[in-house]
Amino acid sequence: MKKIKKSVAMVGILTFLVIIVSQPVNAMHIMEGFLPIGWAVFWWAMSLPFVAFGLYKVGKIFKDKPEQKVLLAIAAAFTFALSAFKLPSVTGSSSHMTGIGLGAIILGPFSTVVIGTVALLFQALLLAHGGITTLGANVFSMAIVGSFVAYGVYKGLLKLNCPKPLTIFFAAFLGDLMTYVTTSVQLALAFPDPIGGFVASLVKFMLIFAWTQLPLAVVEGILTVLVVNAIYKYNEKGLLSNETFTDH
Amino acid sequence: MKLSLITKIVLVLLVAAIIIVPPVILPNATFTGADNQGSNAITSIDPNYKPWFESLFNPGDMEKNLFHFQQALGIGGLIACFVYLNKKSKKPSKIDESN
Repeated sequence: MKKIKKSVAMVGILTFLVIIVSQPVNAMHIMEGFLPIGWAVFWWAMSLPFVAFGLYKVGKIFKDKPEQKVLLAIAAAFTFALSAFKLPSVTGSSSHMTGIGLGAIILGPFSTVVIGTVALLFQALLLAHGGITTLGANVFSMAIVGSFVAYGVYKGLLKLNCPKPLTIFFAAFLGDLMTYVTTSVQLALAFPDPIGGFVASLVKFMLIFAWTQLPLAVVEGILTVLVVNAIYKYNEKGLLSNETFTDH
Repeated sequence: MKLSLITKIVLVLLVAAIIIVPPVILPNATFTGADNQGSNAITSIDPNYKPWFESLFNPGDMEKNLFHFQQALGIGGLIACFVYLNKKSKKPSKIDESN
């Protein structure tokens, strides 16, 4: 009981701090209508197969591994919470976290693609953040690149016998950061600089997105470590069955 | 994996520090969204670009509330999940409560 109280207190403190400084302003990722139609269609086409296979994977969780449904709920709630907080960064602008790394670690990348897509769809439809035309591109950068990078880093570092907390930190950190690097690449591809071309544009967008994201990615890494640590306790009691928790 | 209480406290303080430092050291910054700057950058690269699609639904003044709604959904969901796990872990034959 004491432990629960402690964790509730900790969540409370964090939430309080985040609410104080967060300021919900304006759009996320690539805004509605801000990708030329050709690129919008291209990224939709790139993302759809991942979303389709992800849906199949989520269906399998419901059918074959019902005890993992709670992991799915945790990952979804985490992504919802984190992507709704705009945090200030040292660059003087603000951005938000993605929360995708957690899902990739506890569920695997494909199911996480679905979670990210739902969160992006929610924000595009209800909050006018991001957009329907740019949904394909935003799903690709956040839900696909984010979760596959996080998953790859997680598996890779575990193979190298990196301590588990560090492994989780770097997985979530790099997953978050690479999302914004991908956004920069997508925008630079669609809007090459008339003089410097793709590279000049890429530098410009990277300075805006990736640089701002750096401290936030650190925060996301730490929060992911704390949540996985909290879930771990229940796995020791045999409540969850997931390869992430059983091996190593 | 099990983090000690000290480690957890240090991590939480670190998160707090990263979040609090920017407004303190940059009191005059407006902290506009990076995505807004992204859109401005697009216009500066290609001044003729016009967004060709508008949001289907514009929340207007509701935006802030909807954002808080999403935050509440997420945080509430997380708390609900852990309460559920806690309840479930208490129910079956208690094998090892000492961890």
